[in-house]
Amino acid sequence: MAMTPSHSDPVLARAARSLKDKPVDARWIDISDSIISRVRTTTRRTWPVSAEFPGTTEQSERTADTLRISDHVVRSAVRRALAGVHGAEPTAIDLYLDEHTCTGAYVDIVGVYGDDLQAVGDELAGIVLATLSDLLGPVRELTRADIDVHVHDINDAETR
Amino acid sequence: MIVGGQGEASPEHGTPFGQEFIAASDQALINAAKLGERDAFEAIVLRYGPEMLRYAQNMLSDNGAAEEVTQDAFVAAWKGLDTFRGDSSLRTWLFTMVSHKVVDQRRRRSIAPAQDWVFDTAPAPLTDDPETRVNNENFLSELDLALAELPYRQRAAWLLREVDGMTHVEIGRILLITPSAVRGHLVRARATLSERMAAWR
Repeated sequence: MAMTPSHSDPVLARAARSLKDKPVDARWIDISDSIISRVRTTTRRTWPVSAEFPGTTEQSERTADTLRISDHVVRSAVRRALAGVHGAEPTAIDLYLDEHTCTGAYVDIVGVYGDDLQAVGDELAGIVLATLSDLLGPVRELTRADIDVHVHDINDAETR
Repeated sequence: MIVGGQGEASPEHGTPFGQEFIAASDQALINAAKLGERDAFEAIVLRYGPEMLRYAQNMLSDNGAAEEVTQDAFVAAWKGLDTFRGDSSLRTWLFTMVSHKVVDQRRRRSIAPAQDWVFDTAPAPLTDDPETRVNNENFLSELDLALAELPYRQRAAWLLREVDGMTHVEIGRILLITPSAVRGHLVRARATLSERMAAWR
């Protein structure tokens, strides 16, 4: 930090240092627990996405009941599957939906300088397809054409 | 139909908290949190919460209110993640949140009198020497009183600059004033504090 007039006044310098050096509030553990609890209970917009019950093979079983998974869960699973693959970092994941049926996905990533972005895009799209298939089951067969991967920025691999 | 934007992750996942995010960059944390990863947001809370709480405590004469303000700021940040565009650093953005909540708090209730501020003050840094400790406690009490007498923007500007090490531009973003105005508030705050604390010179 640059020198400031407060640093030229020893009393003000001591004042700033005293406040900076104060130990973290002893109640911080409890306070942070409260914050995290409040965040966990803070609802955010969600949308149910249709899925198949795992392990069902009979058509009658498939149609007897309905399984829906929050789009947040789906997007979070996709993010985790993509994180770190080729150093790519997802910055946005949107699901294409026809009512409750997932018809594809849009993924926005920060790529790594020097990578073959076309190949990386194809690989990431494959991961998205596999993740959606694992999570949602064969509600609707998706193909590579249903997954849009957009590289919106490039990072130097050295900085990652 | 496209569904996207805000989201929240299921708590059911295999990565124990902290493993993925504890050393992550601010940008990685904000990206993951925007995609609904609560663990990423919790890492943000743990990273910046203590200094946000300290700022609120120094701005309000009430530790309970400071705690509430810090909580409210984080909940607002969680809800408003999509509004974070990276124009400022994550830290500056979070301080903007807590600063707004401090203002709201001050509007809602009158500030406690200066003598209450003394009782609410956290203990001075520990030292083995009782005389030094008493001296430090007296100094901090006097400083708390002096700060409490400063007008809001002077107090905020001085704390953000001298305690939190922010630039004039960052302080301006947080207090919604120009960097020149920040300089003016700082000059006045330093002059007042210097005069008020002269006995310690």
